[in-house]
Amino acid sequence: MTERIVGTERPESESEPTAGDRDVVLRGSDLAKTYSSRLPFGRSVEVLTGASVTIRRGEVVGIVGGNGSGKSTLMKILVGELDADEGTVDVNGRVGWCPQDELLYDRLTVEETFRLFGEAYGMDPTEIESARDRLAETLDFEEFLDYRIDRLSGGNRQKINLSIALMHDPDVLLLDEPYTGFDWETYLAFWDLTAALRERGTAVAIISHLINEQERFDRILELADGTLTDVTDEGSSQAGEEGVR
Amino acid sequence: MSTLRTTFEMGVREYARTPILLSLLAFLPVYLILVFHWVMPESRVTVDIPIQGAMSAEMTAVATVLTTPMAAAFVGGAAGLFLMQSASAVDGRLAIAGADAVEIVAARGGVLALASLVGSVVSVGVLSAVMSVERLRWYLLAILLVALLYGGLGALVGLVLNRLAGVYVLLFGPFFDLFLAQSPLTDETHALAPFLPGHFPMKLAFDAALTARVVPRNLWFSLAYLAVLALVVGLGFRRGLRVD
Amino acid sequence: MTVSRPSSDRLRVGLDAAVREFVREPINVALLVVLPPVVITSYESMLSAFPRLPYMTTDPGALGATAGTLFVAAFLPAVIGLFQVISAQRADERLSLAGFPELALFVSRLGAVCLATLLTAALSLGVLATTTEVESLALGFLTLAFVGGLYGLIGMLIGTVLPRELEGSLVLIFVVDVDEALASGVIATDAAATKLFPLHYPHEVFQAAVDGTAPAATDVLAAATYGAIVLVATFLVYTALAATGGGGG
Repeated sequence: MTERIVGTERPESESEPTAGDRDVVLRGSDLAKTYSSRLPFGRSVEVLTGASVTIRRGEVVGIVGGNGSGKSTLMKILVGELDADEGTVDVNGRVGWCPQDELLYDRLTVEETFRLFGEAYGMDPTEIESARDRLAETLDFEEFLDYRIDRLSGGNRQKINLSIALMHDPDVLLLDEPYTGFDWETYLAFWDLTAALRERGTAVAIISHLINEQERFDRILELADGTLTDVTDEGSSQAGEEGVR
Repeated sequence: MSTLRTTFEMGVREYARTPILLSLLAFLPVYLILVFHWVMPESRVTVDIPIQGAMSAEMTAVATVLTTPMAAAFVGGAAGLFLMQSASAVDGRLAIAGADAVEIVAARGGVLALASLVGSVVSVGVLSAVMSVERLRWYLLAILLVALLYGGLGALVGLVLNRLAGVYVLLFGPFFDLFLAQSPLTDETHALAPFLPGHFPMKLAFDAALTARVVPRNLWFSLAYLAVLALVVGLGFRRGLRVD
Repeated sequence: MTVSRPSSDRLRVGLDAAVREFVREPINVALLVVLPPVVITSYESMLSAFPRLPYMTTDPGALGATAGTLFVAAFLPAVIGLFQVISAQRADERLSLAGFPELALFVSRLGAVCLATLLTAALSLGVLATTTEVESLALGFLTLAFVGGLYGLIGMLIGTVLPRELEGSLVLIFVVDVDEALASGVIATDAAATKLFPLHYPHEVFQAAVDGTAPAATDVLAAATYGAIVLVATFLVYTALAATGGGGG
């Protein structure tokens, strides 16, 4: 079971936080996770073997890794959707999560989806409406507010998926393959949005199996063999044709 | 509390937007109950009614009274199996967003209860179109209890096994319990019958349908069974909002 | 719609894939093995509590065992057929676009259902034979295999027309349980409408197999005709709806 510390609660035995610590919005320490088969002779898969990550206010972090390296597992543990076998997660602020699978209610409209998740975030109706309109304008889905989720194109569903993660102005945003299905305009709008979030002090962690524009990231971490390594300066073994520049 | 209301409202909207499903919920109980009402011979048969003992009744009436709770059980059971399960991954995201897990579970339970109520009202409505019962409100209550119990059972099977297994259970379970084990045509009560979900509601149903009296104790036992089942399912569903 | 003669290789690959999909869910295999003895002994036990009513040809417990055998042999393939078609709907469309002929797709799906049918029929008959003397095992097995195939097709048909799990399952449950109740032996009716239900004629043939009497030719013919109609209808609907996107040779 993951030990999860939310907010600024800290055991008395620990020393006073340093200036660097006060900037930390999310920290995962020595996270381990193995997927075991229920059957006696089934295969077990060790996905994380002591992965640690620290995310600070206002930084944009890229997390890369090959297919099946455990990126989504790591993110689910950080968000709290999955329990790690070992390790701790410290959260100091609000978390926004955009999963790789669009976890949305198919038969609700876009407007209803905002209302439901806004309620869950503890937002009042005015705040929900304001966030919905702001994001609809930024990501260009205003004309689809009355559409059911299952009637949207893949790209538009992904816009809603992302917007739900953003609507409550989180302190840290965890995005798993966020630009799947985006057209070029939306891709650029996404990065404009990320820049605005960064200026506001929101931390953004983006999982991608490939990162082509390194200058957009403050740090790039590579998940391989169950652990994370900072490859910002060195380059990644998972680099595409153009590499991580 | 507003999260509960919103989640419940959205749950209802989700399923109310499927015309095919709504049509099936209206049509299928009609099909089941009327088929039996029409094919049964117009003869009399001796039945063992809980409050009265042996009595003579028309076979069509017995068959109709017997198949009405089956229709409600199928609707409730299918609702429990599928409605509770289908949104669980997204419900997990809602829980991470901050919605209280208990409220999510309660909202889903509310949708299930509503589906069971719809199934029960439609089923009893069909019955009322072809025959009259002595105590209609008590009979409706009994049918609703059957639907809710099988709704809970459907949800439980879906949590523990999978949908394929759940459909197998629904193919055999209500028939086995309601049509065979609780049948008033039997000489004696089968040893398993008192432990099956339909036992107390069916006693209530037969008393209400064919006699002018009911035994409230059957209602209390039914509610107790339902409360335990609801607790188990609620805890299981809440646990399922987190994946491991 | 293009219907081309399927190559044996494609059929084999398709069937192999369909079977693997099913058996890789251990609970499915467990249910296939566990349910027959559970259902048959439960039916025998439950029906034993009924009095021997005038229209019952034998004691109620034996009737229950026979009916339970028929039901489990029929209904497990029905569920498999339903879920096979629904879960594979998009993949089948894609396979069809890739050039897999509709006939091959249909046969692959049906083949997987038939394998489950044969297994269930054998298991069911084996369980029944431990408590009841089945005079003609061959006829009994053939009848059980037939009802399994018939209901497997019905499951596929429902899954094709209603490719959503909740809706498809609801319809299957209601269709099955009406048939189940009418064929249970608990109810006696000579209403003509009962002959329209899938298990009506096979039930007579199976009872003949258990009793060791010759089945009525009309029952056998009617069952075969019913099966042929359901087979053709399912094939036409499946190739029209489930495997759209054209097909090639």
